[in-house]
Parts: sequence; structure tokens; C-alpha cells
Amino acid sequence: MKATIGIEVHVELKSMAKVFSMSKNDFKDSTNTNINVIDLAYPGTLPRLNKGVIESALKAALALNCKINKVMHFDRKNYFYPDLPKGYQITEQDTPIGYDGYIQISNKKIEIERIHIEEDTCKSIHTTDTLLNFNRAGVPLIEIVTKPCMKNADEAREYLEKLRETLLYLGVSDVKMEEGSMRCDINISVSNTDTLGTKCEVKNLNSISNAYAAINYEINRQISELEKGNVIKEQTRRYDEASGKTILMRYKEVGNDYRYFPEPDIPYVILDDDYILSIKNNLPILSDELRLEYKKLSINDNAINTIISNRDIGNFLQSVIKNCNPVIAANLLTGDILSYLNKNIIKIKDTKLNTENFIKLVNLLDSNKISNKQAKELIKIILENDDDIDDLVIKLNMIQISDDNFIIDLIDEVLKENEDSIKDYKEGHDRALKYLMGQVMKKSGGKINPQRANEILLSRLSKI
Amino acid sequence: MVTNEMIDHLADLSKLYINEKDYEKYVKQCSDILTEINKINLVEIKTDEIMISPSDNVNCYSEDVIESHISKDLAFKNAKRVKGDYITVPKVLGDE
Amino acid sequence: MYLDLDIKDINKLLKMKKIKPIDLVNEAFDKIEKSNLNCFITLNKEEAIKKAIELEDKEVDNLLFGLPIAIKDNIVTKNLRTTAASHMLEDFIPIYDATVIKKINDANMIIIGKTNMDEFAMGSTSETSYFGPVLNPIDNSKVAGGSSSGSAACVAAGLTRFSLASDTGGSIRQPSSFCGVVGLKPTYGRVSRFGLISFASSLDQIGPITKTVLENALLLNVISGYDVNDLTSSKEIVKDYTSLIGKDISGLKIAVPNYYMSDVVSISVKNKILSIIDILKSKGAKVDYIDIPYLEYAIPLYQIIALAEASSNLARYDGVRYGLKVDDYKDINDLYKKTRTLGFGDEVKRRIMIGTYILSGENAKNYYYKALKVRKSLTDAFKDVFLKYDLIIGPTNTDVAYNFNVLSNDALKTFYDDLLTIPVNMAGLPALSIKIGENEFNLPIGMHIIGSYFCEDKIYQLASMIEKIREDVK
Repeated sequence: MKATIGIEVHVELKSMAKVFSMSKNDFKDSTNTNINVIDLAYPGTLPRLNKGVIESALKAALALNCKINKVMHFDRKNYFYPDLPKGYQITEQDTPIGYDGYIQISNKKIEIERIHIEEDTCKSIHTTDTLLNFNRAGVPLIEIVTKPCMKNADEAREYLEKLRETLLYLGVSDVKMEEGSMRCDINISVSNTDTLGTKCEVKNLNSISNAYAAINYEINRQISELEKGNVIKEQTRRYDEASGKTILMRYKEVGNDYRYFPEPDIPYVILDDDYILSIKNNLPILSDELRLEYKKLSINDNAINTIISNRDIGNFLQSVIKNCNPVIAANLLTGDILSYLNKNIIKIKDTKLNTENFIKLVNLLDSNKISNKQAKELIKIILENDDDIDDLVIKLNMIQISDDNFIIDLIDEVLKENEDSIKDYKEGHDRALKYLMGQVMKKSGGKINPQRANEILLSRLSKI
Repeated sequence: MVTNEMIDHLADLSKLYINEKDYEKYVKQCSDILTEINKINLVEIKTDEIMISPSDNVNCYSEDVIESHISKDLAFKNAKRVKGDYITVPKVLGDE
Repeated sequence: MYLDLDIKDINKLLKMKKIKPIDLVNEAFDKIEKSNLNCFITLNKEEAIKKAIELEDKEVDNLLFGLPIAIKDNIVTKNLRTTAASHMLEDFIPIYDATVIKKINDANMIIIGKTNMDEFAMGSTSETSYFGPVLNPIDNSKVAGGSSSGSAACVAAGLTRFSLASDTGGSIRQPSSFCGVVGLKPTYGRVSRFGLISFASSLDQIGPITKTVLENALLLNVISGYDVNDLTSSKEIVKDYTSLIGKDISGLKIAVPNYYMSDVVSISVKNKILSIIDILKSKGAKVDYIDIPYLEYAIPLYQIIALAEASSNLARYDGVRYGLKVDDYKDINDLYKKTRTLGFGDEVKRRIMIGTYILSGENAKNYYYKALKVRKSLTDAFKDVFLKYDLIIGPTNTDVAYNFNVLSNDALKTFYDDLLTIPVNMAGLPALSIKIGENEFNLPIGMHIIGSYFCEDKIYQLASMIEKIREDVK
């Protein structure tokens, strides 16, 4: 028996205003405040069209390697439901903005059939009555539909992770599954022949791990049904997190009759080649490209993963990477800086850290002018106030001396004063070396580069 | 062929109740209309282009800027069932 | 009576402060109260009086200043009940003004009330109105036409000189023709539809109904223009539509479609049109009879496109955010069905059912898309005509106003009235109906003048000539 999986993902786009009305796109605001006469489908109202939404959707389509429908019209999908004020949803049935795309995961390309723009519905709260919050009515969505081309939960999970990461990097959505800004429905079928089996849809999965668990459960359930000789009827199911099972919601009746037809209230959208190209050329660097770039710069894999999954850190690194040692920069960011941010639950922009100070700090470390310990001390300071780091180093008397002649003179002085220790060292007592090193550092006031001093001390000792 | 079952389906899609006595009328009217609109399929045309609207406009965008909202009071003015901050409807199964 | 004077004279009197806007408003309400035509669903007396008094302190800045105007009840007016003549919206109080209402207010005109119509503009006699039919002012036993019945009848009866109406398949021109007034359906997109309760979005257009051609053009000047709230409204510059009024028509190239003079048209109407054509020729116009392909498919095109769009546009009336309140329901589905079954009249329900049928299952592919292609072909055919001609003329309707209750329960027959007007909506062209005379029973006969896109000025040029001919005949 083999399984076949296709995934439909709805993603809420970030924009200031909604897609077909210019009220605020933020359904988490106070209930029923981000609304106007269009959102309520008042008689006589007509849709608007938000340019920002078209642009975000185009970015997504390009990033998912889609072909672009250069001449688009919208369509009406007609059905009655209390969360649908007009009695129809404006969508793109005939001319999805993108089609025939793909996402590369580790072992294959996941084929994307279509990506289209549509509007979200009201948020319903089910108590004794159903309560309607129109803040979400008209929030821009893109729906991304794959072909039934995945074979198991691992591929599905990787696809979802990659899709999430890509959209995050594009900056077109928050893609927070737990908050509903990314929602996914999964179609699963099993079959022991080449023809696809009857599919069951698991709706509204609210995390990638739930999607993973639901697919595994569903594949096993369907296989055991078939093995029992039962026939699988097309159905809609939901995933119950507590039990880890999928639960039947309803059997699908004869195909839904949505009576699609072209929306006469919104004129054609024509995307000319120049516009598409300008969007394409200005796409932000996506995660795949970044991974490769960081690898080339010899940043270690752990740091890379941390940077890719944390856009805040990643963006900061991008802004300094050309001006300082990338490995040191990455280590500082993913080390002390990230733990500071996590501890305080804040972002870089909420701190006093600026790129200029950060670059100077990395360069000081890179040229061995300060020690790691001193760097730790400095990071704390520059996260919390914006004193110039050069001033700080002087004020705190931190500059390390790496001038060999100075170090040699100093060491020779110490050796002259500690002939007993030289004898001890020559007799093989290691602690004598530690003692001598201690004396050297003490004499320098801790300002010479200890590594260099150690090297010189050894070489001087060998010559005695 | 227009049948009573089809009238039921259309009435359900349209969210209308059909009187027992009106089925016959609807069957006849839908059949008549079907005959009439079938003429469209006989028309020979040279174009494959559809005309959705007489408007020649294209790319009628608005910039992504928030415009004014209406107050809850105004929004609820004509609503028949309001509870607190919400317009309500009889409970629907939460499957969407 | 001031409202019977020429508007230039009214304007002079207002400017000289011999009369005040309140005098005009009072006269209009006096006449309305004495009239038995059932032209209005809701009167705006209190607000109209208030506005008239406010205007006393303002400068008389345009020819329409202070003049009363009636508004079809499918154009939303903030705080003034708007019903679309439906039980569904019997208590509906809009919370915003349609764009045309803002423009009317900006021009300092005074809205006196909302006019009766066919329910949701579906019908051609106002017999589908929840508030009862409008009587034809010329002969009360006849229908006033529809769907803009009240808007045409109140102008014809002299209750007001101005009204706004809407036209989806002939709803301005047919009642204007039946009542003998001037009614224009502008080019699609010339006037914003924002605030017009949608019937068929790709066909609907708001337009003026007036006593005279000049008034019509003046009102079009006021209501025209691009509107950010209607994406299908046009950015084409708003001309002064009065500019060609009274200009010589010699050299004007006029086409008469043979279909418009075929057997579908009654003899008396046809003869009247022929006599006008003779006069136009004598004035130097060049008149040719031509064939326009696809004209004869108007009815099936209309049924497919208008009713499909209507079935979708009327889905929002579910009794949740506004609309009829029903109390006794089992569940959401029962609430929807009871609200809609009780709230809509028979004609509206019939059209919703048929529109749903047209889009259902495979029908959309089989009929709807084909209809959109035929529509394109018809439009191209019209465009070809306008490469060679300035205007197209013919009768507005196949016949004059008829008795009540003649349209049986025949689903098709109700559309035949619009046989000659529908093609214009399909192509989105501007067209006007103007009275050219009466039949033997004194019932008005209307002529249809169709112009090219945004050439309403040329339509008015010819219409003003016909107005003059009419006066000369008198």
C-alpha cells in the first residue's frame, strides 16, 4: 500500500488594509472595530482592490517558482454561510496568479498546482449562538495547492516547513499556524495500485507537528480499513490533538455547487513583464540562498540553523556581514546576544545594539585586541546603552597588547626575576610555566594578548 | 430535463422554500428558459474572448493604506440579533 | 406654479430672491400629497425643508440650485429608508450615502423622497413592488413602465422636474417612454454605482430622468465622474454634456437597425419613428438602415447574464446584518430560507432560481461563458457601427404603455418589453428615450437614441432637436 498526499495551505498576507476594502487588516484588534460597509456587505457596496496584496501574492508566486497569469480576473464563489457576508467569496478560480510551480525539498520537488488570491471570512465564535467578528472578513489570503505528489508524512512536513520558511523570508506573512495566519488542509489517500485511492481530507491543522501526526494516523487508518475489506468513502475529518486521532466530520456529498462566475465588479488585473521582473529582481534573499552563502563563509551548521529560523538575528547579520568576520559575528549573535534576547523576550530593535558598535566589537575580537571574556562584558553594555565601543574599551582599560617587542621585553624582565621557576620548568614542572605566565600577565596589567604571550614565553624558555 | 429534484437543489442553493403547488410552475419556467437560452449555443461567433464587463478599466488598485472604519453602533444598526460586541446567528456547527 | 417654469426662469427667480428653495419644496410636497399615482415609497419632508432653509443663506451657484429631486429607492440614502421596493428591506436605514447622493447634495439640490419601483428593479411595470404599482400619469389605467416607475411618473406628473433612476435592461428608458419624459442611461462607468443596490453589476447604470433635454444634461454633469469606490467607473473626462444642445444636426450620420423597425414593433410606433426620420433628413441628417448582428439574441443574453449576476448579488440578503426579521426558526438554514422566502416577492424569487440554475453545475460553462462571448461579439458589432455613424435610433419600446395584469406568469414575456433596450446595456453604450408624440389613445411614444461610448453630448444634440420639432408641431 502506498499513500499519496496533497496539501492546501491558506496563508494570511500581511498588509495595512484588507484586500477588497480599505479597512485595517488586523483581526486580533478589538472585536468588530476594523470594519466598514464593504466588510458588512451592505447593499450598494462594491469591492476595492489593494495593490499591496497583489504585490505580496506575486512575490509568493515567484518565490514558489510559479508561472504567472499576466491577465487576471477575479471570480465569485457562491455559497451561504454566516461567516460569508456577501453570500459569495471573491477568489481567483479561472486565473490564479501563479501556477505550475514547485518547492525543492531535500529529495524532490514538491509540485505546486496553483496559488491564488482570495478573501478571508468572518471569525465565528460558537457559543449557544454563533458570534460573528467581521474584523477578519476581507483579510487577504493566498491559497497554495500542491499536486498529490507527496508519499509520506516526512515529505509533507518538510514541504510545510520549507513553505513556511520561504513565506517568512519573503516577508509576506507571519505564517503563524498557532494563530491561524497559516492554515492547512491535507488530502490523503492510499492505494495498492497505480490509480489514486479515495481521498480523505483532514481540515484545519494548526501546527506542522499535528499535520505530521495526522498524516501518519490517517495513512494507518486507511490501510487498516482497506485491509479489513472496507470501502473508503470521500470524507472530511479533523485532527484531535488530545487523542492523536483524526475524527470524521462529514461525508462529502455530490460535488459542491459553488456556481463560480467572473466577478464583474473588479476590472482585469494586468501584470506586465517589466513589473513582474522588477518584483522578481527585488525579492529578498530566500533561506536556501542564505544557507549556501553562510556555508561558504564557514559559519557552522548549528549557527546557520539558528540564524535561518530566527529572522531577527538573520537580518542583523545580513546588515553587518560585509564589514566584519562573519564567523565571529554569527557566533556572537547566536550566542550571547540571542540568549539575552530570549531571556528578555525582546527583539534586536528593542535593544541599544547598533551595527557600528557591533562591527567594531567583532573587529576587536578578530584582531585579538580584546579577549572573549572582555567581549562578553562589552556585549552586555552595548545591548543596554549606546556608548561608542571605542570609548568603552579605553574607559574600561581593555585594549590588549599584541606588539611582540613589547611582550618580549616584558617576558625577559619576568624571566630575569624568576630564575628558580625557569629551573623548575626545565625539570618538567608544568606549574612553573603557569606561574611564569601569571607573572607576565600581572606585570602587563592583563593588557597583553595571552595567547601571543604564551607563545613567546615558550620560545624564550626554549632558548635558555 | 428539469425535474422536481432539480428544483429542490436550486431552491436549496438559493435558500428558498418552494411551495408544493409551485413546483410545476418552476419546472415549466426553467424548461422555457432552458429552451430560450439554448439559442445562445447556436450563435456562431468569431471571437473566443469573453466580455465580463463593458468597463475598459484595468489595474484599478488602491494603495495599501487604511481608510476610515465605522462604529459598532452604526454597523449593528440594521442587524436583528446583536449580543455585546457581536452580530449573532443561530449556532452553526463549527466546522469551518 | 414655479415647478412648471423653465429651469432658467426658476433660477432667475431664486437669484433675485423672488422665491426661495422652500417654496419649491412646499410646492412639490403639495403636489405629491394630492397625487394618487403611488410614485413614492418614502418622503423626505422634514430633511428637505431643513435643507431648503439652509440653502437660503447660500449663493445660487448653479442652474440646479435649490431644485427638488426624487431618487429611485434602490439608491442608498444615509438615514433615509431605502427599500428597493422589497419587503426584505422594508425597515432598512442605510448608514452611508451613495456617491450620486453626495454629488446631488454638493450641487445643492433637495432630495424630496424615494420613488417606487419594481422590487430590486426586477420588472417593467412596478407590479412587483411590495408597495403596490405606480399609475401612469397620462392614463391611470395603464402601467407607468418599470422598473424606474416612480422616477418617470413623478417627473411626467410634474411632481418634480428631476429624478434619478437606474437601468439594467431598459429600466430608465422604458418608463420614460411610457410616461413621455426624457430618460438617459449613461455609458457604463460614466456614473458611479457605489450605493446602487446591485441587480446585475455589469449592466446596471444610474441615470437622470427629467422633463427637458437640457435638464437631463445638467443633471448628468452633476452625477458623472470617476469614483474610487466603483472600480468600473471611468476616468474619461466629464464633458459639459449641454455643449451640443440646440446645435445644427445637418451632416449627422444616423443609423437605423432594421431589427428595430421589424415586425416586433407596433405599427403606430413604427409610423411615428418614420415620420421623425423624415424630419431629421429634412434637417440635413444622413439616415441609413443597417443590420447589426446578434441584436436578436438580447433576451437569452439578458436572461443568462442578468439573472446569473442577480442570483449572486441577492445572496447577501440573509437577514443577518440587515433585512427582514423572522423569529421562528429551527436553525441557520431555516432562518435563511424563511427570511428569503418571506422577504422576496415572486418575481425576485423566480429570477434568483433561474440565475442559480444558469450557474449551477455545468451550466456556467455551457451557457454563461458562451453568453459572455456573444456579448463581446454584439459589442464589437456596435463598435463597428459607430466607426461610420454618430448615432443609432429606433423606437425605445415595441409598443406604448399597456394595462395592468397583462404580463402573465410567463417567465419569458416579462423580458420582451426590454427587447430593444437590452442590447445597449450589454454593450455598455449610452442611450436616451425621448417622447416623439402620441398614439391614437394619447399614449406617449418614445424614440431611442443610442450613442457611442461617452458621447452623451451627441445624444442630447439630437434629442434637443426632437424636443424642438415637438414644440414646432404644437
